[in-house]
Amino acid sequence: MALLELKGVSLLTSGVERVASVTASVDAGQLVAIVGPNGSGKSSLLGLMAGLFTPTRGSVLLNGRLVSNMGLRELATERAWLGQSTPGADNFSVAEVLNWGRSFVAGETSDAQSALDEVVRVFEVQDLMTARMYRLSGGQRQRVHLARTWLQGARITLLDEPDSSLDETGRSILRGAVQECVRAGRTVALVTHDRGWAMSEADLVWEVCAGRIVVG
Amino acid sequence: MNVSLRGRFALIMMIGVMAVGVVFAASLVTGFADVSPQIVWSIRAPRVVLTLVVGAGLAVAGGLLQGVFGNPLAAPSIVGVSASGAAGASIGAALGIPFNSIPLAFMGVILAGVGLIVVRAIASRDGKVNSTALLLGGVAISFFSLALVLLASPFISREAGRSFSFWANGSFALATWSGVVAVAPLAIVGLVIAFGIASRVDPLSLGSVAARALGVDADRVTQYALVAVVLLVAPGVTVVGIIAFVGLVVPHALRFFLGPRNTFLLPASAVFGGLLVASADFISRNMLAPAEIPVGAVTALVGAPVFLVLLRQMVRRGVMSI
Repeated sequence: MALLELKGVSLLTSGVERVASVTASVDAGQLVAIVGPNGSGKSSLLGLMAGLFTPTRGSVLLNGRLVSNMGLRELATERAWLGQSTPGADNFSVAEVLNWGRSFVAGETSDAQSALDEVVRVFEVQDLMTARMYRLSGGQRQRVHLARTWLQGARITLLDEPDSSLDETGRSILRGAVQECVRAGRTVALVTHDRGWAMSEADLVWEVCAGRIVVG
Repeated sequence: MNVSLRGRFALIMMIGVMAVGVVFAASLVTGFADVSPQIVWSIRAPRVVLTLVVGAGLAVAGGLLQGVFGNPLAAPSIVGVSASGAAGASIGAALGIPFNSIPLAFMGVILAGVGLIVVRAIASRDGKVNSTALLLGGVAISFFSLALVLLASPFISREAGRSFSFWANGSFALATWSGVVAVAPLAIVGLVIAFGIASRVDPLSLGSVAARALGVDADRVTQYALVAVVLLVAPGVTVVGIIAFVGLVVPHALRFFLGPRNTFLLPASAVFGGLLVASADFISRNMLAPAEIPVGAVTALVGAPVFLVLLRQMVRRGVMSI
């Protein structure tokens, strides 16, 4: 059984069809790259996969269950999502923002400290823990939000252009984390404009155009 | 949890509670040493209790609004809650409902709720609230509501006219135990809701979609917060009128000492909001005694310069969100 299934999914907002009758599936442990021009519906598709938008038609299933029937806490345990640009939280410290990755998900948190130590090491944010978010550069902020997303420990992680504000070092950190995640049997789906990365490392590449997966 | 933050919170709360005790005692006896305990009990005590309840409500409401909308300029008097609550009070008074009464408190709650729903609906698109539209909508609702207050005033009876005059200026002069009974239970419910959702308000600073992705039902938290804001502000407005700056300044000032976590910020706002309004009322009675100046004038005289200093620091640091 596929981990995530999209069955004839469409999304209509403000009179515009962002996603049009998409049927696709992702298995556990796969890396899916979603590529396509600006405005083609990639972010909307990712939001539907994350259960953050309600499809106008069709259904999204996670582990065979309708995403729309899952509670937010349960959903946050099963899937993590990071948007294209994450605003605000300026006055919170990095440690406080990271803590949100585990605070609201369902289930036990006995290994919370070791999970925190691990993602802090992977995303190299050890020296930033007490800093307020407004003091960080765009790339540092993005690494903090990636670490927060990883902390959810979800089976599928959905990332919308996670590399857009990262420098070469940051991209290398991100790619290493994604590889490690997939190697551990977790699934990652990400929107990117880096076709080289998509073609060389992804198990599936979905080319999106006008709300449809035209190649995939 | 950050131990030093806990320590700072404990210290600040201790200072605040002690200061409240001092102001409470001073307010009961200052200038009234020669009056009977009965007068102190029936006139002065409800007045001081009401300053604490109203101040706590305004400050916690301000902190909640700033948290859920991620907007440091959000406050009850700016998003229109205070003015629409005042419209409810004046319409109720015009219909013959007495001041300091539970029915008038409910009139305030209803109108403030409607005002807040309208402002939020106007400022929202696809589930996201536009901060600028929220403030502009609040300003428009405030002017509209204050027009309703003026329109209702000719219909208020001559007997209630004196009360209306004090109320319209923002004053605790007519506070009674019935006023406390009209305000306190609803404010306590508001406080319970606010403290209950405090930790879930924090991630809303990332935006409602990101908060949902973390497992926080942003819509529900916002709805609870708005109900709390109405209960914390509107009943007080129907008894003492509009008191500005408390909801704006107190949470801002406390963020400098405690940071933005609402688990700490909201309880501290309750204590220091009460302290600020009780102190302002003390000053308003004694500065030009036996004349009394409106308490809202004192809070604005203190609050506006403090807020400008805080605003300048925010601009210098480039931090204009929560």
